[in-house]
Amino acid sequence: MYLIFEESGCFFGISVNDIFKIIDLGSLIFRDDKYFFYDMEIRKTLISDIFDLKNRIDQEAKKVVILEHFDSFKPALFVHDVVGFIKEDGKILKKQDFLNLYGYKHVKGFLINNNRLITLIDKKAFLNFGNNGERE
Amino acid sequence: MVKESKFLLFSLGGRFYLCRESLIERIIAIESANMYFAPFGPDWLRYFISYNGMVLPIIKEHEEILCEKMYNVIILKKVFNFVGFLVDYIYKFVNISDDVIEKALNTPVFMAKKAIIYDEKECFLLDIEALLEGRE
Repeated sequence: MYLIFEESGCFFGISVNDIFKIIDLGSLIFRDDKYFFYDMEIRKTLISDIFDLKNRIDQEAKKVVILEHFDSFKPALFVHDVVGFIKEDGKILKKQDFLNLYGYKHVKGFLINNNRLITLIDKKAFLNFGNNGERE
Repeated sequence: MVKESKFLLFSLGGRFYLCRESLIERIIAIESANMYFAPFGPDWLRYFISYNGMVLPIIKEHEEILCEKMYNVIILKKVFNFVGFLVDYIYKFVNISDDVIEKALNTPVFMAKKAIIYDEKECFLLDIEALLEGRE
């Protein structure tokens, strides 16, 4: 099952197995230039940090998707809005490998639902980003 | 005896193109509702379509609003990576002597590097490298 969220008019999906918790932005505490959920350090990532979106719209983040990660911090995606969940039902459309050359390295595949293309992203993209703070 | 090869003559963006028959996987007509904007990637990677359980990138030189109900798409074979491109009008298959192709003049444009004169028209020879690698 995938969590679907919207960013800059595009739809993205991330496996629920990769998610620790989904919370409202207001549930985070900002202290000493760091975000915390209770006493757990949260490392902020935006979709636009990872992918070079064609139609980037600066939207206010409303939700935080905290990712499962065994370390002193947990990476989290600050997203505009969460749309819902979708079962893949084996209908994942494959990505051709050559698309990795064109910015699709961290894309696992795609789903089409309600006439929308949903880009399924790999949790690894956010773990790598957390280490050096730069897009690969 | 003069050796000949078969090419598909089509038009795109006011230019005439020739595509070697052996490169073509299929020619399809697709509804604009089944074409999805590519969320990221180079400018020429405009859309995705679902094809045989995978996502197939559709290449186009200029962005445009998809106002027609149906579009013609030429899909190239997997050995070159499955990739498609929108065409304005498909004319016919034509036989052209290999001598003429060898003498094609360097005339780089979108999706082509060389051109020949066929039927008193300047026709650009579709080139895979120009299509995929030379456009970043």
